[in-house]
Amino acid sequence: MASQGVIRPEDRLFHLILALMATTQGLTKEQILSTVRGYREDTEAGLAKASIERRFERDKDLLRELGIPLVAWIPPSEDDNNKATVYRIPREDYEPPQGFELDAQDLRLLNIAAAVWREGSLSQEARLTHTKLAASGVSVDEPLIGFLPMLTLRDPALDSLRQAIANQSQVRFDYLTPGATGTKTRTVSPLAVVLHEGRWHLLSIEEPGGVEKTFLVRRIVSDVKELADAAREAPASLIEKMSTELSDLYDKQTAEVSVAPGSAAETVLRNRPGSSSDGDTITVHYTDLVALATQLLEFAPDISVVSPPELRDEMLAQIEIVGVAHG
Amino acid sequence: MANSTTGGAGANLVLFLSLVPYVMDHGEVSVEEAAAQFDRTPDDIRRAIELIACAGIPGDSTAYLHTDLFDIDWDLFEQDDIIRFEHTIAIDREPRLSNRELSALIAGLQYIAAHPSYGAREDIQSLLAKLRGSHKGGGESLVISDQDATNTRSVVAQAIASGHQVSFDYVSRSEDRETRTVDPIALEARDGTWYMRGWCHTRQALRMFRLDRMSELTMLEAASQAHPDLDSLDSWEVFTPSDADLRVTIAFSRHALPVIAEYLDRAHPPTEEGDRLIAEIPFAHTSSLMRFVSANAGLVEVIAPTSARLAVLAWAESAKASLQ
Repeated sequence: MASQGVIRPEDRLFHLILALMATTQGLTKEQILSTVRGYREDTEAGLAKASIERRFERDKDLLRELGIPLVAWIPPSEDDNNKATVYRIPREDYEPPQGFELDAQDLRLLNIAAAVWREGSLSQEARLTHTKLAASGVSVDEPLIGFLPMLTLRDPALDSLRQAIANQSQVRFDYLTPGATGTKTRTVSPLAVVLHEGRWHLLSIEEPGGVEKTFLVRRIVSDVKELADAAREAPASLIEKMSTELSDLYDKQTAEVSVAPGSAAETVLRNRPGSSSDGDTITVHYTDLVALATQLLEFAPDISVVSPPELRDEMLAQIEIVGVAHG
Repeated sequence: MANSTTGGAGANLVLFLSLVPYVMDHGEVSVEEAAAQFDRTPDDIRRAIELIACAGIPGDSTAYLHTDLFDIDWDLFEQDDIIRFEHTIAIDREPRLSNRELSALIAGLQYIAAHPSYGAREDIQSLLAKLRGSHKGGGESLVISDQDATNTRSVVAQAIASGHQVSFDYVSRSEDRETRTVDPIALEARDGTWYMRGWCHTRQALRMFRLDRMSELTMLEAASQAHPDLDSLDSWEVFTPSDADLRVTIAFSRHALPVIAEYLDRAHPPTEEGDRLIAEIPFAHTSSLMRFVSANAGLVEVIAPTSARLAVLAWAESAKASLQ
């Protein structure tokens, strides 16, 4: 086939996939660079080999990001010779798994689930999902009636964290202790991000020492830097255990707050999950004392804290900081 | 919502890989149909097909011989805008969903299931189980945990479904409490905060109501009026800046930027001043300003106008007094 003008990246990537799916014994990098459309033209034009090889590395990364399985191995006869590494895309790992059948209703629901993600990189990802699902031929445009669920994932830290989780890498970031102005640098193996009490939490294992630790994502105040170090291995059950602990903590911890009758504080606090009241005193549940103090400050002149005293102290400390900054 | 700029090599590549099995399954399909199915423009589809039709594998000869290439019925394509493959290569199914995609779908479904009518549905629960079974890479990296505190969501959902008005006490942002009668139009969940959109008879206007600011919610006998002009729900905004806003100049440390990014006016990015950033932020009421300042204690400082700065100080004094 004659090459005309510049070959677009998607053209090259499509040819790479076709070649790697058609081969049974795998192709070496040499073979790919000298025969597959998009690489071959550049090789023949005498482009620097190092730059073609770098492009091949980037292409491999992109395919993996898209969920396309690329396996590499050295044939036993080649004795650990790196140059002999061959690449292949196994059909059984490329196609939807055996027994994973989606009916028309499943597909409609999945499209609605994908459409929940607005803004941020997840909305881009959702478009790819939509395209893959559309291949089934089922008409999928069925909007929800009277219901608009959306998740924006606006915080840039969430993107980086999800990327690092997918790559199974450790990350480093500066974390702000609420109410204080200082930050502390943390190094963790990220496990999952959890939306709990309307706030995004990072479940992780912190270094050094490998301690299980949960962070509030909005308190991450630097870029999330992905490290070369591999993340600690963690059993899948750890994520479930740590997210259950978040809910358990909420169920277990309570504070008593008196509210001015008829105030917004009264309505909002009564409406929190699990709240109970006795006259003007409302018992509220919480996950994090400092975060609760911050939430209650919004209603500050209309409430007073009955218990625990640490909650009042934390609120007073936060008010003091505001007062000093504006005095 | 077709958009030819929807971009990136990755998006186009996934389109090629999904278009091939779609056309194969159908035998032949019009460009227009394919465009609707994949939410692309007809031109996007034509360009994709032209590229696929010339693609193939190097083959044993490494010469991309005819038998190693895709082929389409070119006459049918060029004259009737219809796609039919004469020959296909290597692929016959779409790529599977990646672990990242599966975890985003599982989380999306969990979020939808927080709606009382959807949470009870068996099809959603069985689909969740199916997805979890196919998700092989460790645990779920995205988790949505959301509980309905009261039965507010159920009542609103029921009123929407049955077309009845609702009435409730509402404490607005500006702290006034009033009984409202509303034609509910939609339940909306945004990052874990739930709202009801509706036509407020009390105010004769469209309004968004936060569910956690409602009390004494009841479904009325009276039927909701039709609001066909409000079909396009996406066009609403929670907060639309207006001239009546209080515009306040805020100084904050660079560290705080991600935390307060959602308040910033995109048209007016912050400016640097020493080691701090300065931005003008619109607030609907003094009470929203106080909420912003208290939620970001230690991170932000109100610089101007002086009246706003004094209001913050007065707020701090009375807050302290009520707590002590």
